[in-house]
Amino acid sequence: MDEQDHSSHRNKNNITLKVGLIGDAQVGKTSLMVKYVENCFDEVYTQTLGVNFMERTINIKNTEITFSIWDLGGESEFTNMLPLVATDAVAILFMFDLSRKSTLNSIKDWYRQTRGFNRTAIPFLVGTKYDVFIELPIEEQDQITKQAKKYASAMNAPLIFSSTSASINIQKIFKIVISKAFDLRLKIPEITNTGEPILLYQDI
Amino acid sequence: MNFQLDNQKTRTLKHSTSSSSLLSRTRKLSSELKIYRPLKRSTSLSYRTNIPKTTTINTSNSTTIKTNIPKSNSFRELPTPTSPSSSYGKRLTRRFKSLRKISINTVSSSSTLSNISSPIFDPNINNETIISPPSSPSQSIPSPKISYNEDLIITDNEDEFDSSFSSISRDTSFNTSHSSISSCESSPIKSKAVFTDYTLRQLKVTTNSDDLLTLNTYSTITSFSTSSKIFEIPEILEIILRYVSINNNENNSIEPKMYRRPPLSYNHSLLMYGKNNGEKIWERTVSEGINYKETSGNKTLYNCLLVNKQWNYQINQILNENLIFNNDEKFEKFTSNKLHYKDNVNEIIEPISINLNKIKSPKSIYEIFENKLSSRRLEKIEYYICSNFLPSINLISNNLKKLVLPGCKILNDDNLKNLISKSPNLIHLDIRACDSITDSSIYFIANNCSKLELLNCGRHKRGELISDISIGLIAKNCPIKTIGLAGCGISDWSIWELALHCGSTLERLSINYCWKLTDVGICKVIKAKLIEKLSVLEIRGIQINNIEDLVNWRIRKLNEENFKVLIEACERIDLMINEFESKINYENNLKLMNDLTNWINNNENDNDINFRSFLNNHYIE
Repeated sequence: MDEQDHSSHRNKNNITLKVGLIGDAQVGKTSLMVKYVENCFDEVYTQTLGVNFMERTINIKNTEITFSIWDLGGESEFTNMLPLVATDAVAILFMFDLSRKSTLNSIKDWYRQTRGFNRTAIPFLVGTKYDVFIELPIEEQDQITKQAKKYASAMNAPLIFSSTSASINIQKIFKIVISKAFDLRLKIPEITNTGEPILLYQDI
Repeated sequence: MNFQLDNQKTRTLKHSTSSSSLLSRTRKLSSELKIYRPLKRSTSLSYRTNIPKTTTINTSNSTTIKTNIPKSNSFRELPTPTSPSSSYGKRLTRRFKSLRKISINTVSSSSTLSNISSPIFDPNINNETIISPPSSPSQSIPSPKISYNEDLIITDNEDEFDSSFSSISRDTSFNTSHSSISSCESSPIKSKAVFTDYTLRQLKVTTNSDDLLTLNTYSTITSFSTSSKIFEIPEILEIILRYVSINNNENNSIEPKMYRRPPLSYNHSLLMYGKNNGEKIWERTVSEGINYKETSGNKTLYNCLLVNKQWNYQINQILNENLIFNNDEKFEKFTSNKLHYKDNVNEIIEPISINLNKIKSPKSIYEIFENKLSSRRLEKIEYYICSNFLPSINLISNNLKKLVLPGCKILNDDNLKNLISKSPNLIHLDIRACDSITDSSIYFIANNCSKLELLNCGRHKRGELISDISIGLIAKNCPIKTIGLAGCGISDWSIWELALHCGSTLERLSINYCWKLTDVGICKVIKAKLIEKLSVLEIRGIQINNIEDLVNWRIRKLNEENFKVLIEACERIDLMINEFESKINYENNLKLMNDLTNWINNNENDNDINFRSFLNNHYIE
């Protein structure tokens, strides 16, 4: 028994998780990726031409978890590169701008297209620019929140409101990715109230 | 001759096979022309490039024609001539005549295909272009593989050309390939204006490396005097031919290289390769067995034999370095053949290696074969399953490094000792399935071959003849890297001896079906890290039960050194290994999941800002 423990101690695990970021132009896909990988945020908008790719490795004891994050340019001309991002992805983050309702509406289309290439990936619905969102009138916030919840339950996806510039719920997105990918119990409290950065991942 | 008016829009010159006046002209031309240089593929490419190119060609009367290659675009934009004008025809004829006089001064090595004259263009004649590849005399000139498109028109007859220009027909069936050039007695003329749809892409000169070589050799036969001098310098020729022979030797690996041993049963195959591949691999194993690769020698090397005496001699030298025979017929033919040695019947071959595979010829024939050989350079003797004869003592010298005699039924202790006593520098000794070899031989080997790195004395029958006494001494005296002891009557003591004495060198160990071995041997030796260089361990059919040490060793090697260890085992042991491995994996995964759960629930590693403090700050503002 002692011996087995000894050997498994030395076991090194390398796990790579591919995560795709998909959504309309200017919702903040690249920003989120850069924020998560390099922990920095740049106000200047740079259009993604085609596909961006970054990796972040997390060491947890003997395990190396590598997130390889693929970010698809939001313009319609890059839709032909969708398979590159979607295939073999463990999780796909469908992202929309909380301050622009139209970006939420086009999630339906993104979801449908992406499902065509990858039926097994865990979908996530991620609202961005929460810091802008709270400036909106309460009624509008309420309307967007309700609609987002509706979409999330239809997609059977966790719903997360995040802010890259204010560092809200960025790390949590990827923790939820791990918990969903390995079916682990997560005890982070959910946030459900309108006006707060929604964090819903259980019983969706 | 047979020009006809067919179509006014597309006028072409029909190829006609003979014309006496022309023939004489071309003969003259060909005599001036020392060597034919075929069109290179790049010339056809150059048509398409838009850069005008200047080609200079020396004519016989030492005047120089400068020609420009026009832009390819202009080809396509050319207006199709609606009707042939007589002036055009005359101009073309003049042009044609002037071309006849051209002799191209291309004296160069026959082997080089790199410097190839480009066709002549003359854009000065009203967008009409005349393209002329260099003349190709028919006699004693190798024909390059030039495939012309049907649109390519070649005219032979300049006498008739004048008078009957207006009656030119388009001959669609004219498709010249190789024969076109060799039969064509004149310079082919193509006129772009005449056939507008001609795209130069369609002119192809195929020269692959094989052609190059045949062309090379052929031209050396026919015009050896003009070939490069380097082919006459034996030393350089040898280097060239050796290079050619490299491929030849590669193809001659007689025993197939096995990455893994074949599975023993269907279930074993599933264990070894998993559910998906296991089935296929087992089917293949059953249907094919172990198939020995047929040698497919490189034909080019044999072509080189036919070039000339010097080449023949050199190639023979190279071929005779490695004598390889796979069937009786070839072996006996070689043995009886004196053709190659007409000049010197008594010539002795000095091979570096002899490789016989399943030769069943009688001993008498083998003796004739051996009489032709000298042991001066001999380093490798490999006789696979040749039961009728043995290498004689005359072939053995200090140079011998490799002696491979698997399945040799007539090999016994006395024979082997005789051979070994004369080869102290032996590195590689393979006496698999030589059932009558006993401890006495192995003991003798251990004392005589201090450089031995590989010993294989695996066997199916009479394993009790090889025991600890001899193997222990081998371990002590020889720097063993690979040892095959399959089916031998050794005990754990031999394994310990090997580990203690050869632990730093041992890389491959086969102890399949060694019935005396127990857990105390190999498992403990590996646990004690005595043979850290080991990469292949074969433990089929031995009575061990404690495989944990082996699995842990394999995992440790992979994790710590990224070193993959292969354990070849039987179904019983593989099953145990699999069970243990999945147990380890399960525990490992359980632990991993625990670690992950702890990590994701730990808020301290989080850079996220608490949203409440963010909201507070926000509303205060």
